[in-house]
Amino acid sequence: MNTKRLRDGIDLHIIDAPKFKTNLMSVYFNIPLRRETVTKAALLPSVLKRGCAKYPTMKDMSRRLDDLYSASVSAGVRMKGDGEVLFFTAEYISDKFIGEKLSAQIAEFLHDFIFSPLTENGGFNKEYTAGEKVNLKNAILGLVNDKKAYTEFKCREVMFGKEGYGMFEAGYAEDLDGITPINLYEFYKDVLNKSKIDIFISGTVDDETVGDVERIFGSAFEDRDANYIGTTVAESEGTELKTVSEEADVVQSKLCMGMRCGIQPVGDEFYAITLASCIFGGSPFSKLFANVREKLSLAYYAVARYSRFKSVMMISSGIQTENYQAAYDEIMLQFKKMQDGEIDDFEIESAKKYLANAYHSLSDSLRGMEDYYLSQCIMGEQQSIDELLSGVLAVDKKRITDVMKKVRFDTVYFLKGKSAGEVE
Amino acid sequence: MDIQKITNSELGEEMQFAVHESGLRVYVFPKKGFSKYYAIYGTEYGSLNRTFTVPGENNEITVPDGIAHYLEHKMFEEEDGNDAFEKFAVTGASSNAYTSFDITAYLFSCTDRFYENLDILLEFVNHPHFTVENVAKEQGIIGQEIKMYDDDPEWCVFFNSLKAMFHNNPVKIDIAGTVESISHITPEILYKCYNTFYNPANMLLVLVGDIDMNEAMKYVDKHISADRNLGRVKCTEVSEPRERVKEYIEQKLSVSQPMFRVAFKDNQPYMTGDALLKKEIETEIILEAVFGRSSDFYLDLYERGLIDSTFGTETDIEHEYGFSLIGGESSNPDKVYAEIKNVLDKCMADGIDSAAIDRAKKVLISRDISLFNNVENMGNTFIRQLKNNQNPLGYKKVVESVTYDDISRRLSNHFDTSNCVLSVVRPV
Repeated sequence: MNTKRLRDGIDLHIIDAPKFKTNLMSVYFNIPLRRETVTKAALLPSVLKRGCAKYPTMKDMSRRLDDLYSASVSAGVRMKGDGEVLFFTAEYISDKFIGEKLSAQIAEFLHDFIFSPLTENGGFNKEYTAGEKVNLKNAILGLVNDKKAYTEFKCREVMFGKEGYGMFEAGYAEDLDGITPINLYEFYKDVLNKSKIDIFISGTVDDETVGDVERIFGSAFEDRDANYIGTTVAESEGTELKTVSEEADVVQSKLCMGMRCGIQPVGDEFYAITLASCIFGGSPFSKLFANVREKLSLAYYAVARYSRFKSVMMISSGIQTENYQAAYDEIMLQFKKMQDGEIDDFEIESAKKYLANAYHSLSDSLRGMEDYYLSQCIMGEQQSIDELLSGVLAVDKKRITDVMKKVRFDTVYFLKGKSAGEVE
Repeated sequence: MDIQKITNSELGEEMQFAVHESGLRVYVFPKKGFSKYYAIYGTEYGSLNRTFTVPGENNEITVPDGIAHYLEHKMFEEEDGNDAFEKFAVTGASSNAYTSFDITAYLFSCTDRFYENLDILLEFVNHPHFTVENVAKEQGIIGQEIKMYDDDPEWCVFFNSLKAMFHNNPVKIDIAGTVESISHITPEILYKCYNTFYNPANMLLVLVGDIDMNEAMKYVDKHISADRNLGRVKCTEVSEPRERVKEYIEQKLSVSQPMFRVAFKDNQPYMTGDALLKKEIETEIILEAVFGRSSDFYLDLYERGLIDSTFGTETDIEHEYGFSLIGGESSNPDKVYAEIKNVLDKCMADGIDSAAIDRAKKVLISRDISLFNNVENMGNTFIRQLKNNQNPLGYKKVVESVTYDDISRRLSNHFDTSNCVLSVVRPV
């Protein structure tokens, strides 16, 4: 990846990967995760997608994208630790298949979309804002439709409260009433003028394309004294294990367990916890898969995932209500084995190969590479995927048990369904 | 062995193809410059195949619902007590399997040691090992998989629409079966299914990546002997009335707002090759032109708050079944249902705008080009097309061959508003 500074606080990153048949062009605004703004940030992309000054309706926008060889544009928010990014991404067929310079036209479309929204009386369009408030409310309430995602989120919320990492990135229904076309537009202007911005162009990228993108976006931005949003890693607070049980009208109960790991996102301990979580619950040969699923037949899925920015590990499984204790005990037993070093060489070697495969695969995905490098930027790192891999490959058993000993269970969230006897 | 080649110079893609003496069809899509290799090894066998004659026997048998999927889980079990996942763990490959209505497929992706992984894949799928004990063990795991789907409203609203459309076609039966039906599965029945459908002539091997066909064939030779060729299994055709079962089906679940699908059944089954692909493409063009993001319908209903960005369409047109679905979430599914029928009736009376058809064709062609960005998507899409005797490098040509008259014909055949279904999941 090459990076060019367009202005203070605005970087253009170029990932040259001509093997792909499409290009990706994205603009990221780095913003903090705060209760006052999270709902507004979530609402912005949907209001903007309704229309801009040049293409005032969704149909006008879609027709323009159809003309650009069915380019697809997405916009939304994505959490990055204690911060989030507001993103705008266009994927389009690369010039060599159509004999036309599409990149400049895509950059112009994105430029219009982002910088010339449809406004009236100092605010966004009234109907669009009102309509999207209703849609966002439905999306927020719709979290409950996916019981696995719901339980994982509730566990995170219990762990961190309704601030920073504990927040729901889609926002809060009760905050929608306070949002007006004017205060939403004011917030958006702040985002445009004050955020650290990263622009990515990936795929088949020549100098002319880079020049076009620089020219089109360069004039849109002012210099700014802006930086990435830092994240405080989750250290154990030495508090008692929190256990929350919520009854629900479901046939399968969901068990989620959240742990604080206290590990910095960059450095040797990060490599160790990455490998540890793969052995514990991140692969089909992991301890959780082999025991909770294969040995005891308690679940179809039992996984552990590690979040790099916040240093949180989450275990997630779907079980019969009456098997709660059996699943809980088995997870704890396997966790203890991780801490006590009851890990054989086969597990360590397998996890290393599994991760090597996953990291090498990143270069086959434009979106995967873009997200990897964006995260690197946010962490202030410039580590290549190969360097990351060699860090992980150097980890030994001692280092795995050392990091696992730092990990503390914080919260158990149980979405409790009907037990076997109650199913009609 | 004769290796044939098809190239598409516009796309810069190639397909190599050979039939092994066992009857196995083998395909290689050489993908230079990519780190990943992908292999998918599938049999033309899924939840639809519940009644059949075991080769060498005389009478037709009917097996418990969910058995194809159960078999897929049990294939990973090995005689030495390990499972195939552990073998892939040695190489670092990422492996998986799935069962659909008409395909059971085993797959891996890797960035290294491709032929070693191919060896493992061909080894475990060609060596079933079912015991009373290991079959019983899976009841709990699959039972939880079934319950996970029971709580998934998207899955329920989808499957209910099939139940309301089809009288006899087994596409209406849950792929994983029920906790009750899988309790009847024994090693003996699993072997019967395996011996019938996992015969090499009923299977395909699709390889994507920088792979040498001759080298790959050495592993096919090693694991699959020619004498296992029992011929492609002929599917039993099911007689299905043209009429829907019922117009409306509803279920209450713990959801925030209603989810709905408007469903149209396909009444021209058992087609194959380009004719089948063309029918699918015509259907997709209609859905894109009438209900896509650039359509008047989408904008109108979106602005009226009747639909939101969850609105979408899909079509699944295969040899043995076919249907199209239009749906999403809405506070008023009955109103959206009326509007959908209304716009289709209008299209049937006045015809679809030809500019909209041209736009839809472009969308399909772009989607096809993008497919070649990803080795997994290529393998998963192509195994279906190849099973149906279609050419994965010839998609664009078929799209371009569709005429305005084809669209009109397909519209009136398939999108019959007096024979469609509304499936709704409502909040408890």
